[in-house]
Amino acid sequence: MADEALFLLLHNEMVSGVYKSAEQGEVENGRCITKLENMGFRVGQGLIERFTKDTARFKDELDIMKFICKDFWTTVFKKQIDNLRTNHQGIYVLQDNKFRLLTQMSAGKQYLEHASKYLAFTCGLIRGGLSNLGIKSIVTAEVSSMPACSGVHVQNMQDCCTGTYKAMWFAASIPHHLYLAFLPCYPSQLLPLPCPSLIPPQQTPVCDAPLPVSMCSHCSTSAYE
Amino acid sequence: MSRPAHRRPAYHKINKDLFVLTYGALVAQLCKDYEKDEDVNQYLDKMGYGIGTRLVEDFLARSCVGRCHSYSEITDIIAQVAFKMYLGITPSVTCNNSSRNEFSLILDKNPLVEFVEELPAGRSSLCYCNLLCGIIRGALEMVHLAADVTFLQDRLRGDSVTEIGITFLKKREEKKYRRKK
Repeated sequence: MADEALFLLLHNEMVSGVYKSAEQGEVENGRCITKLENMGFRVGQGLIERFTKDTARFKDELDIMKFICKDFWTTVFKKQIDNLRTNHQGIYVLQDNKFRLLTQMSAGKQYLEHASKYLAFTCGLIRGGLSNLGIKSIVTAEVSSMPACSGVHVQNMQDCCTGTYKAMWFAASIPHHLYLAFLPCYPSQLLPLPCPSLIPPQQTPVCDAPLPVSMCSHCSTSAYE
Repeated sequence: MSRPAHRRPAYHKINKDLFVLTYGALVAQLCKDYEKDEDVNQYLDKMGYGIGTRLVEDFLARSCVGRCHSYSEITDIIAQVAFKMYLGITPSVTCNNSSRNEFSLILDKNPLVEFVEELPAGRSSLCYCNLLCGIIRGALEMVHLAADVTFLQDRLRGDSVTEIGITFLKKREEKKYRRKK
């Protein structure tokens, strides 16, 4: 049984490794978050497949979000999301008061600016999980010293073939509160909140893995284009 | 003076799949970033070293093993306690030479490769689990034991078993304190 410490340390090493190679000029700074997020995406896709193998079909989007908050979060982080808020138009705010990947860090403001690095992977995890459940989303994280406010312009975005909802994931930490917010938005829209990564909707996640790490159903043509 | 009764706190166990999948995503990303297998292996080893230096503290805190008196004792503890605690497997230990400083851990079941069918084409010398070597090396270094840890055999590369070789190197000579006369 892989212990929690092992995953935490691996995650921290991954973050520091990615940023170290960025310092050496190999990658631009902004791409580090995207790299981590993409790794999380692949893991999220695989994880959600294994978790939902025997579960019943989800009724609607809210059902999926509740699953993410309760079962998925419990299995991955051993606790539930503390608070889920929605405006029933595709915006979801998930709050985690004691996010496990941040508990090892100082509770004050010292490392607040670095905290977003450690959330990128989880952003991708959620985005990957939602993607394999049929929801296209943009998930971002925010760590601030005060609770995140949802002063964001909401606009329903619907494709002609499928209704897609863009999602944003905020994280606020006091000391380790985590707000996850999902809202529909155009990727090019200027948002007042910092977004560690914005994945354009055209970028379909492709399983271009050199290693067949997981037999992902996504390897066939995507139905969510 | 009696010691207080030892209480084992309930350690949360993140689902094993999360770790295995994360590791797989990491190796996939590294394969994309680096062309040469040696670079990927080296990176994994370095990463494992960083993890091992920290993991050993966690291990010592949880397992409360006593002081070891020989290399074979250390290798037994790595195999039977540490591997069991973190990966849930117990590799078998064999000693490779008469001077008793070279050991092998033979893993018949490796949870890290649970989702890996085979190495990709063109990556025939990739040590997929090189992180483990780095972890062992880092952990041993933190308890002042220099060791060389490599993969001797790897099932993913076509061998029959997965074998990790640990060679304990001679300790650096400690400066003897000289009394000023």
